[in-house]
Amino acid sequence: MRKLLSEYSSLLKNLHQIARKGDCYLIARIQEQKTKFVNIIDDRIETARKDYIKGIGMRVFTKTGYNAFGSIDNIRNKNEVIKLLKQIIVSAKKAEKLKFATNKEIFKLKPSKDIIIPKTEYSFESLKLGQIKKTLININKKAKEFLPVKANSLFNITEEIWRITRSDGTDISFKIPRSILYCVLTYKKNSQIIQRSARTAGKSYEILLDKQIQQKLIKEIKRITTIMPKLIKVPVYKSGSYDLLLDAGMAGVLIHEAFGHAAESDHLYQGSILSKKRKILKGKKVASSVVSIYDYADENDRGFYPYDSQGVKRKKITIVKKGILREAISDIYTATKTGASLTGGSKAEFYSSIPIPRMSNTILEVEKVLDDKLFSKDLVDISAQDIKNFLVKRGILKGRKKIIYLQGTMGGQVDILEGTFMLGTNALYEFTKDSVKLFKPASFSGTTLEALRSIKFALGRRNSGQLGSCGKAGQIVPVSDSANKFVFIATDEKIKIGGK
Amino acid sequence: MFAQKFYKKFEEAKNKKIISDYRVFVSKAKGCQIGITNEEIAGVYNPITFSSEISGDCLVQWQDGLISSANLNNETLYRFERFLKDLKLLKYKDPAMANFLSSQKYPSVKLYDQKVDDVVEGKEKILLDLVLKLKKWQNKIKTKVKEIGAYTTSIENVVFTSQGLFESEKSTLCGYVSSYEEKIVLEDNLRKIPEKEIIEKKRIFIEQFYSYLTKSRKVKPKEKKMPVLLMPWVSKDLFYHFIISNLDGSSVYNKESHFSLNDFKDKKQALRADLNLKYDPTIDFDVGSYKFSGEGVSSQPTDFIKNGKLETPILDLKYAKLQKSKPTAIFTIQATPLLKSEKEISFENCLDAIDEGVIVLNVLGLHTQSSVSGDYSLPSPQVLYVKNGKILGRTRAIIVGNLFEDMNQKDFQLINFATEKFPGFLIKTNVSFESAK
Repeated sequence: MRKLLSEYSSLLKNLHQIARKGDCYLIARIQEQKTKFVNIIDDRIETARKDYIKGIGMRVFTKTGYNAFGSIDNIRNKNEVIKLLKQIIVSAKKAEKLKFATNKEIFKLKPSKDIIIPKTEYSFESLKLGQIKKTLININKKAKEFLPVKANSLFNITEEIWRITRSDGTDISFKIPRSILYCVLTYKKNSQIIQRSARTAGKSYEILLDKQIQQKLIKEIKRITTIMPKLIKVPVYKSGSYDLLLDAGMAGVLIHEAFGHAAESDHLYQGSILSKKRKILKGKKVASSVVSIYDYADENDRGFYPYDSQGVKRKKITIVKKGILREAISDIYTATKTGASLTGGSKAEFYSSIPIPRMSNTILEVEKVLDDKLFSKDLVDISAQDIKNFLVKRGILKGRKKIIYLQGTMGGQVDILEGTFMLGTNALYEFTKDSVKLFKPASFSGTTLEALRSIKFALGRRNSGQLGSCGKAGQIVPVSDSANKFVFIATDEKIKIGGK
Repeated sequence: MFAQKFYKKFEEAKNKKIISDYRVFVSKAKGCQIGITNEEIAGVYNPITFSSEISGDCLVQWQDGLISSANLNNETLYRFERFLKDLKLLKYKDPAMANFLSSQKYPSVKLYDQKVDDVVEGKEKILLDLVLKLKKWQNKIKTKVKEIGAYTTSIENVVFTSQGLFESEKSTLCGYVSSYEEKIVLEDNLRKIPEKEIIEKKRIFIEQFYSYLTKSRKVKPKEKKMPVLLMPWVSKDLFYHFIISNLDGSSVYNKESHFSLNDFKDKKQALRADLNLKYDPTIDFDVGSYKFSGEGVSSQPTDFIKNGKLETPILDLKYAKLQKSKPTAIFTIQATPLLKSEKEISFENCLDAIDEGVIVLNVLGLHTQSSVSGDYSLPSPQVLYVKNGKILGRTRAIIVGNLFEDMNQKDFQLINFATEKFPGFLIKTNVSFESAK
């Protein structure tokens, strides 16, 4: 197979020669990314644009491990690229002279070569604007049939190509195709207004053309439009600590935000709840024994990166097995330093970004499962009433006054050092033996380890969770997560629902 | 000049009648940055970094009246024919979008500082000295985890159109950030190299609060509705999320905003009658200032809310045309709007007047809150408890309310801080607390 971005082979060769002459080790990363974005409000195009990015990021290390970084978009101007490389070689040597921080881990890597091009059903240019427009208008139309909303559909298709070369001869190139579709719905009644969104993601135009995917999206829109008028009227719940049931979307984001970030090796090194004196607390019980957590994405998952930004193959990472901390999402720079094994976990959003450890597809697996035919259905087909009936039938509500069901997520945030998290919900339901009551969304927050230790069981097996993006250090990268259909968390005073 | 290359390409396409009109905004940026994570200066996550990039945006009108838009960079110049071909595949009808300004009068706004430019060109020692100074300060008070960084950027912006507009501006940016265990952050973004005295003043203020957050005892007050002082960086985030975002001209026109077009026509009372919101991008060396927008619109001060009443949404050329109005000042990422009231009080006086309340130093997950409703339910891991005008302890809390309602209450107040441009907010809202264990 031909290397991707092979037209830059001669430039890369040249750059490595210059680095070698300057007694430096070089990691060069070329990125080429094209994006098509179409936004339809109701039945007209608000925006349609195509963006294109190309550039090179270079990091040099002196033999003693001092480093500097440079990036430039004008990759076709060889002289400019070489000038920048020489400038960063000087800077790395300045860092050496001034005895700044040193890191020699990169020299331990073994060379490798690989080319990865995932197959997609449709090529980037295969669908014309008219066809995209037609599908998005159709989605908006459907939404308006359910409720008089303002419907705003946004479709984005991206093709990202990377070529990563290192002084040790490593030459990795890969392509990542991905697409995402959001439908943002705004509903206004009197002076009250509410906004919610439905989304789906994939590799290409299949998210517009596949009937099953479209039907699932429309079902989600129907569910949202059914609940929106009610959410305007319902009261705010009383704040406090309760028994909680999270759907897969919420449980996935809990694992991503509250736990996943703390398991990234730069955070372990900085000091997270999963490390002590910069070392991973391997073997420590960090969750209930029914809980396992993984980070792994195959080429169909959003968040798929076969190699990390240093050219290290990304591994399937078992972060927690039966409640015990095992591995981290690590890169070459802080894996050994934190006592974690190297899992190839770094990502850079752009050629100009500094690579940092990032999640891909984070998976929460709860082993104690109460299963039922009900849970073989899609999440969107399971109503709050269905779940409450199941909980009554299985005696789970017996002896409990209520269970709070948090449905859907608006994302979240974590404070790594404090080990506290916050997640936003789409809706909050109170289940009692005899009733299902809807309330306004509330924040779900608390301390991470208490939340994980309070996970008792799940309803149903693994379900895909949230498809979206994650922001860290100013870089936004695609991620996904998944969890059992529903996850039960027992009351803990350190886990709270924010209300009145 | 770098923009001339783009100009020639677009003019050529116009002369060949491939396109009928165009508007181009291109920017050449060179930057330098350095950072410290914990004790590691210029380590692997914060190395000495140099960057050079051309970026921009174009709007093209084809002979049939349809339009297309795309980003620009160096690569565009190398593959211009292919670029136009691709662009044509995404053409669509939007008459309101097709605005191509002719030559305009622009204010003289000073945005450029030679000393900042020198750093980008290899005098990075200034940045290094700055981060070392910030580190020394943190070492003095023995912070366990520190994240420090400083940057400079030198930018040249050019806007030109097929109707004879051609204007350029040079600007510089310089900023620093020093995070104290992620509890509180000393930071600033400027056009010039920051003055030592100003950083020092800010540092004393920030470290005073860091001390409260680490040394005062943990408390668990009783849940109730009480005065909540949002520190300026928290109030600014909330104000942007709930108020400024709802002033966006596109959202207002497309009925995706808290406010409607009629609300602006009727000059609806949006905030309490003493509150005024203005944005002035013509102030020399202000980080939010600019000479022209990306569309070539001249920079001008705009009143968005006057005496609490809605004056105008934020309007670019398209939405100004659709709303039969004039384009307004456009908020930049770094902008700090002027939010004013006759009833502002100082932080010291505010603290004295609180019988029982809290000071919120940060909130988690603001982006998860729906901006159109104004509703918020936000936990804060960094909260100080105030009793009889004295800071008595630290706690964690969740604040719940609605910012539109808060800013219409008689208890609402803008609080001035000597070191901050944007005011803090004193609101009365529901607060629940976490256990003190």
